[in-house]
Amino acid sequence: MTLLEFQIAGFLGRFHPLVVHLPIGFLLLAGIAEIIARKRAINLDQGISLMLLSGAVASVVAVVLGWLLAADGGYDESTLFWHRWAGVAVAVVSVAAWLAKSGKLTLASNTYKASLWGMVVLIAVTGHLGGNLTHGPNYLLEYAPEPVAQILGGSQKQHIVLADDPDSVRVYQHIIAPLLEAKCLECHNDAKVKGDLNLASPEAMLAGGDNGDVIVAGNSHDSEIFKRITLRPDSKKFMPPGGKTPLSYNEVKLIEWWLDSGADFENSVIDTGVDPEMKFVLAQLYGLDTDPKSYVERAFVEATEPENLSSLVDAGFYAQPIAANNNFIEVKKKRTTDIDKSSLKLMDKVKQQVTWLHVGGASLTDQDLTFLEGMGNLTRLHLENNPITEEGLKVIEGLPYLESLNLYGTDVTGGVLETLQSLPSLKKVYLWQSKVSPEEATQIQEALPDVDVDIGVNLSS
Amino acid sequence: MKACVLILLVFGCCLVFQSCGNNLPDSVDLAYQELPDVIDFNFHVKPILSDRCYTCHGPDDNARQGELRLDTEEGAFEALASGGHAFVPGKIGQSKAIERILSEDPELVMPPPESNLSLSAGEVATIIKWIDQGAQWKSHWAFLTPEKADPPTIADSNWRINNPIDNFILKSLEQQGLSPADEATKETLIRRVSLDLTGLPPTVDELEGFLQDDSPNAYEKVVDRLLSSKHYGERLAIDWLDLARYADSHGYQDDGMRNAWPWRDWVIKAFNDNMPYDQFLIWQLAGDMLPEPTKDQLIATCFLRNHPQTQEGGVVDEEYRVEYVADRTNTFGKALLGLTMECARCHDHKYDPLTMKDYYSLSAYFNNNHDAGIVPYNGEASPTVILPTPEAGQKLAQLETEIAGYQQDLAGSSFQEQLTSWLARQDKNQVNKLSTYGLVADFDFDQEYRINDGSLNLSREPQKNPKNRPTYAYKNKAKGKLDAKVWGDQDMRPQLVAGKQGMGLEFRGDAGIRFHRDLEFDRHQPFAVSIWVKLLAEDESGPIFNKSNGDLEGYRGWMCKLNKDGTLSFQLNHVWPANAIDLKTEETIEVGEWTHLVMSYDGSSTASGLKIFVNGEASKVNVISDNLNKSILHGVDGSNWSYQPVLLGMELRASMINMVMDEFMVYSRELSRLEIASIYRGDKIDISQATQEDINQFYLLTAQNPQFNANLDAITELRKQQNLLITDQPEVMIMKELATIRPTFLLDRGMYDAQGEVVEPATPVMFPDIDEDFSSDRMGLAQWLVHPDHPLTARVAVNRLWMQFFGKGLVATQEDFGNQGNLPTHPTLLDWLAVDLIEQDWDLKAFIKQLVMSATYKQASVRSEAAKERDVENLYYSYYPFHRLSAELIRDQALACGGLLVRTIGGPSAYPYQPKGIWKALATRNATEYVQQHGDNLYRRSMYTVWKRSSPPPAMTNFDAPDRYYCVVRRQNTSTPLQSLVLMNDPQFVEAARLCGERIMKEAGPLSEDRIDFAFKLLIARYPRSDEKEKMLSLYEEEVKAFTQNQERVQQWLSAGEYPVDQNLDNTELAAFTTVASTLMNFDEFVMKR
Amino acid sequence: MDLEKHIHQINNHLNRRTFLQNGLFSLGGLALSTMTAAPNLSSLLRAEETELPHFSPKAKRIIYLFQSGAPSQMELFDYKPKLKSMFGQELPSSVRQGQRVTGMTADQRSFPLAMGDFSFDQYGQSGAWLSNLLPYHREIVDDICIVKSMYTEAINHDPAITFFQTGSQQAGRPSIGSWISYGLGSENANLPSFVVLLSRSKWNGGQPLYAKLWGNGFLPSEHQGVMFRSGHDPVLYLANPPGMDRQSRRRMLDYLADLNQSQYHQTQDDDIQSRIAQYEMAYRMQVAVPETLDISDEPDYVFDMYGEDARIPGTFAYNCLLARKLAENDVRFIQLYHQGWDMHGGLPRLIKELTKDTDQASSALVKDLKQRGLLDDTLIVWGGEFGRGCYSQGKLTPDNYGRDHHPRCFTIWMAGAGVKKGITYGATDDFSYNITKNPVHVHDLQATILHLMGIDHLRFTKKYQGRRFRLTDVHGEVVKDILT
Repeated sequence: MTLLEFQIAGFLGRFHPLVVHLPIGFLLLAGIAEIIARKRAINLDQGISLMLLSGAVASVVAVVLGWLLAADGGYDESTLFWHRWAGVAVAVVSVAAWLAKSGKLTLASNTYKASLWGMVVLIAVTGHLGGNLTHGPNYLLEYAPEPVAQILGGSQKQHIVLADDPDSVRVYQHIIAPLLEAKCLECHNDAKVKGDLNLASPEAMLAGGDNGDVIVAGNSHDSEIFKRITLRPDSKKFMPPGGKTPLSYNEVKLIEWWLDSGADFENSVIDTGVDPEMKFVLAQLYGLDTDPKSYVERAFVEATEPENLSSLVDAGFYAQPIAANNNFIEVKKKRTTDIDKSSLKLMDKVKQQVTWLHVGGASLTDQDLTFLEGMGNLTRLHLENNPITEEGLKVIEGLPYLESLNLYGTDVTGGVLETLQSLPSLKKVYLWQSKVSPEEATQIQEALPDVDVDIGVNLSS
Repeated sequence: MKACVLILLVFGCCLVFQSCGNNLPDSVDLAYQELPDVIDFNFHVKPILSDRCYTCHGPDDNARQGELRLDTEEGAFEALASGGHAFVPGKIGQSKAIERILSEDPELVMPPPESNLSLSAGEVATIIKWIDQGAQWKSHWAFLTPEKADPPTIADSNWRINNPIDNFILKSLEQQGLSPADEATKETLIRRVSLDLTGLPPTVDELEGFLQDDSPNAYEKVVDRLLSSKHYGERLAIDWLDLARYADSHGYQDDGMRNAWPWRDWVIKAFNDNMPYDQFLIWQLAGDMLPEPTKDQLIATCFLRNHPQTQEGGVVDEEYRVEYVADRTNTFGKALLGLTMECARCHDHKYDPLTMKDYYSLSAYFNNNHDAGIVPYNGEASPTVILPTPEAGQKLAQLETEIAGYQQDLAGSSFQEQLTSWLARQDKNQVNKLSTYGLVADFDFDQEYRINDGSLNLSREPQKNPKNRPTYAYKNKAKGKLDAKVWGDQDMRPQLVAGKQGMGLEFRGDAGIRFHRDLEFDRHQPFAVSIWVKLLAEDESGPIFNKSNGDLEGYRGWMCKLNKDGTLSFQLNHVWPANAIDLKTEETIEVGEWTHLVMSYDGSSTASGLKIFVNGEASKVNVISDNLNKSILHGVDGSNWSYQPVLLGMELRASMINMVMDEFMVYSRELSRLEIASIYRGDKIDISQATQEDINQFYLLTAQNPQFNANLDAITELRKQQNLLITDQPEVMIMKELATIRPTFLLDRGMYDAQGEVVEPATPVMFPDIDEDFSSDRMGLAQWLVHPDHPLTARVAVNRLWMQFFGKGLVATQEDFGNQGNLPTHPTLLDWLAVDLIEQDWDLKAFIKQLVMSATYKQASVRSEAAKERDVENLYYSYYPFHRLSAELIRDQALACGGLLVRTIGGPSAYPYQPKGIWKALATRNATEYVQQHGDNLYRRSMYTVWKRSSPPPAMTNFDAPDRYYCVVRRQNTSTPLQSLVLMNDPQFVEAARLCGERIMKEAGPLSEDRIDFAFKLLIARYPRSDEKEKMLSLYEEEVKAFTQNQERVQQWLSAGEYPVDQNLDNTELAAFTTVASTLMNFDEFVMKR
Repeated sequence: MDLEKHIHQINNHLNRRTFLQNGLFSLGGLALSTMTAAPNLSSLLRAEETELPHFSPKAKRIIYLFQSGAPSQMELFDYKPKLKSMFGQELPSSVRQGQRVTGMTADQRSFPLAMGDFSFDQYGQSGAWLSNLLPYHREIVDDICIVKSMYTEAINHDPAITFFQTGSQQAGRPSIGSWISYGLGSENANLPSFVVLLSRSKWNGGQPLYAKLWGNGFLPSEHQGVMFRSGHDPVLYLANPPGMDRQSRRRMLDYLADLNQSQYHQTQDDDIQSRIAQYEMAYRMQVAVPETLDISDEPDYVFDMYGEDARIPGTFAYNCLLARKLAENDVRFIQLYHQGWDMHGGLPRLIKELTKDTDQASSALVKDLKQRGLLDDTLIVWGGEFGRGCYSQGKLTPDNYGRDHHPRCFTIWMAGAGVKKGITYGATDDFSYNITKNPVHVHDLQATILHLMGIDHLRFTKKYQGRRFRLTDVHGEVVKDILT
């Protein structure tokens, strides 16, 4: 079409919504008239056929205009398809009905009646679909009261809930995929591949669509997907098209952040790295707190029974959870009360929960340390002022999360290095007044550069 | 057809009906069932709305969100800007508030998560049920005038009813399905009522007497005896001292001592004389405004001056004066109205309908006191009233009559002849040159002499540490020698410039000229100062000439200073601003012109005696203060804290700049008008032109008349004795209105210098307007307060008394009767008592008698099973609410049992035992040493123990005594190990235990069993139960066994305190009984009121 | 009008029996109040926030070294070469912008810039600036976080110190120590949870202090600071009076407990049980306190570290040594005051004395705690109540001047649990008169301290007189940049 025609078509098309009301009026009136006529047994055929004629004419005109309007695109494909052919059907049936009524076509009376009711139903369906096309799918049912909405299956606004620990949240799987599903997959899924683009799976995404790579790792500006969702909403290539709800600012930022950080499909939120801007977005959208958290705040462990704690307390220990709604506990031998060794086995029942353990000055020997076996979640271990050596410490080798080990005032020698090397998250070790000589201490420091080895004040000077 | 239409219809309406059914979350549903049948707005709903909503939807305008106001009826029900109504009576569906409360969306839910507030299911259900029942609004119970309902009848006849109080209490017990406890044992009753009415336990004889007296009104006789005892006034005064934030020290930084005990004596006397409570309040709020106020009426106003006052050098005076006004307003609010008034100081009150304007309009009543922000180290903070001892009073009166005698005939009978003969002797054109009689200083500053500082001694005694550094001195023509030198920063010394005559001195700041101590006159001595000054720059201010000891002594001395607006202030101060003569000129001095100033004083300590002359003419002054009644050189016993000599151009913390001074002259007598005019003109005195009166004045003042001189000297001598005597008399702070009204501003965020609009004195608008127009001063405020229609005064007073006798008020939060405060457990009883108190025209003794005679008060304090299960907090008084004794009562009880208590009433505060160096540990100046007294003062009642705010007595603060920095109407009531340490180891208690031991051995016969009985009667006011007796006996025997092996420990154990040991008692037994007594002092029943 | 069902339902919820069981019984009292007065009705409707600590704490205890009188930052930490180069010149009015000055210098005519002959240099890997007055601080520079941009509103001592300790300039609010004792309770039943130690410079009497600084305000009185006094009776009324020995006291307490038990059966009053427990605790305290404060068994190298003063009771060094011993015994809040920093005149001479009192002991405390592994969960704060002005108060001479109060630009340092090591935070202009970077308000510091103790300062409230009071009032932000 030339530019001029194109415009006229666009211009005329816009009259479709106006004209379409005429057939509705006439044809329904025809139906009603039919009922009245039968009930009162009066003959209104003349009028009815007039109504049918004008209804048929109006519906044909409406179909033509509708066709023109559909041309300029931007409508949801499937809804438009059904709306279009339903409309045509109305026109055809109305013409047929008129012909039957006016005698030009002989139809059995009940097929006529059937066609009349069929026409009424078709009108209803077409009108509903037309409304959806212009005002969006849940236009009708948005304010329906609760039970009505359930019955007619209105769409629920679902609230995305994430685990509250940023480490266990996968960026693609938990954030990007649901986002795409909500906003894009309606037309870009395995079944329906508009623009030859399928966003349902990583492989499909990487394959891209008609217009080149959808995803460019590390560079959101070159990625087609980013370009499309950040165009002016009224541009033709803007995604999502046709009056669908566009991506919100936060959602666009999420996509950009994921793309800029390498569009990885496995990384967690923490691995992807969170700048202050994203911190705010994640907190606002998902209530996700991305401040760096210590292990005891990130990890989760089952709560122990209160009796386990009170039995330790009765034995003279201080035993309390480290914080409200946190199941890790701190066990501490108080300085002023000494405990007998047998009570150490009381700790067996809380092996997983103990994270901060103070058993300084309890005259423990290497053999006694066996109770430390299996305390996987220890982060701080105070063994100061006990006659123990590195032999006894073999039991804590490989503890994954131990950060601080206090061995001041023990009989530990330089040989402890081997145990220390087996502790991946060790940050601090205290060897003041131990049997570790200053030279050995420097060796340990060199062997473990990012561990703070504290040898304390030099006694000999 | 009809069928399908029918079906459609049915389907349609079941759809509609279902939609607005009650779709509440099930937790709220569950709570809904358990709610009381009738929901009352004031008791159930208001506390929730107030606590959870008013922060953003309450009376505070600028904190309000969403233009929604839930604290007024209109606000809660009006149409909202965002559509719909917050509350729609009967229709939960349409009530927007319910929609927001129930919403799960964090953006919409109310209260919002970030407010850290939330509603429990029970609270949501309460609000919903209230709306279901028609959302009926009521205004706050405490802001409506109380009405007297008649006492309800009780079904169960054998419940004891002594007076109407019991009707109300028993009615609510009946409703709760509880029953009252039976009457307490006689022992418990007498101990309880003795402690409540006098603060002291019953003596053993009183106990025995009451036990034997089985006449029906035995208890009433005890009550009457106690009510008429002089200790009754002390008991009521104890709580009033907390409320009035009484202390013996100023508080804040330097915490010097003050002399406030006379006010305490007045409070005790007022209670003992059963002064009606309304008069008791009026005297304290506006005693000074009563017609010809008596000393007592003045002393009473010290109630408004008890607040802390600062002495910290370098503070801004106005900032602290504003703080004191705020303290008076807060105290008035909390103590007498039961409202948290202080909240409205920086913003509108968040919960009660009190705006900032209300707060500052109320504070306007207290803003007119003639006081200052900084109070002196030496001398009482003015305004004060002087309380001379009776002997001193007579001596002063006698001196006064003598002086008056001389003043009748000052110049003597033969004045006329001597005058005419004197006139005759004058030379022919009757012109005299200036008389040098009385001229003690005459400096023309024409030359400065460089000397060594130490060489010129300007004081009468030898110099303590003469400085040897160069300085400059000036010649005194009257004495013909160097008599003044530079003071302050030598490099900034005044420069010699052209003066009025010859050279003069230009002052450049940070330095001045000091003069000989002979010029330091006191208020009984006439003297005059003449000086020429030239101001060199606009709006300068600072000292011209003065003898002032600075803010540390309330600017004591005499002073002439230039104010910023160009006017001049002349002051004679003992303690500025109210114990002083303070004059301010109307005219201002011009810049660039020589102005001649003369201050001439006649020694009469009256404003009329201080005459000011500018350029030879008498200058019009307005009198800011005319009340000088103590020395302007020193404090009590001639003491001084800071000393500054007579200075030109400089003061303790200020100095003059851009001013030239010249021809500085001082006379030790008044100057006559003629002489002043001639000095100003610089020529001779021309009698021919003068009026007769001027001539007489000149003739007399230049000592031409021997009779006059003798009379004047005599008067001056008498005034000197008067001055010395009265300066040593004690005085106490009072309220005293300024002559002119001081404007009160609405202060933004309470900042002293952020002055908003001016406000007039007015009572808060939220109260129903009592139809009587009261004057807009403190007297009007007091009358408004005690008016019978006032909704709060009587209720607050009644609730405070109820708390004293039952351990808790009918309204638990005595300090807050507003929306956030507790609700009365028995509102009709509270109102009945309030109106009853007013009807008995505020007779406290009658009211208290009615309380203690009620069956409710006389109940036993044992908790029944039903009470334990259904009323653990004892809200309904199904038994007497036992509670721990206050700090004062515990110590007084120990002293009384030991027979140590000294029962004299009133007087200055006592200094009993305190841990060593208690004050020294914290204070670094002013009152640092705690000097413990001896003898009687060790055993005075605890309310007399000296109270230093920065380190209050630790034994009492351990028992929850407040530190008296601000009004406290309800003490905490806790139990801590520190309390047990006090009872076990405080020497005061150990000594008292020993004295109890002595009484046990002396008054109970030889047998140990009788002695143990006596110990219990003495300390616990009852006979011991058999198991108790047996335990104490075995303790006694074990102690005796232990002590006999270690006699040295016996002596140590008996050595506590200073009271001598009764030697004719067996020490070992005494030591053992001391342990028994000490154990009983630590026993629950000693510390508790059961 | 019947409240009955509603109140009754809530009464059981608040029954005190549950409080006695959790075994955390100590002088510091329970984390909750054992108040026996009838609870406020509206709070009945909803039990108060009792879930503390809110999140995992970094610090378990705090040692606050309060330098009373306000040390001058320009001679110690905040190196300002311009003060020396412009010695004697007037403070440019552009810098001062006519701000409020205390009464002392308000009517002083000239404001000459002043600085004594103190040299500055950078130390440690962190390169922090220190003057030659603080030789020992050089050894801990890499362990502390120096904050140079503190500011407050109060410029007089009384309101300023009260502001620092209680969050408000007016009297009446609980001190920070009481808040933390109220919130977290105590971990050592035999010692107070909030201890106060005082010391005073021999040379400069300094500004007085007042009991309200460690008062409990409206919190239960068992949370008030307990002042440990130098001398034989560290806690008032702790020691038995002469003639009462341990056995006799034990006997007396046994009999007293019997009496009280029989009284309990008579009256069914639960408070009697708590009173019996208080007496046992007092008895144990009588042994525990002197034992903890006994420094006779400390080896000599300790006194080499803390300095010889540490042997003399009542000195700052002695109190620092006690602070370490109290920290080892899990006392929750240890508050030291050293009086004498207020130098309105004679500053060059006096500041040497004050740094001699405090420099060695302060750094020894940090080193000692570090080597014992205690610094991991102990927070140390060192600082005064406001700063001092860059111009001289009173006569300026080459070797003598004073400095007046100044509400901004003062320096504090923090060390230990959860605080970044070896950094300097915030900056001031050339005259240390205005803050140029990262200002930290008093309330921000308080919020950060509470944060390190695992407390969210916005949620930690106590309802009194109808308002939910907070230590940080309605202000305060956690200074996240200085936290690890």
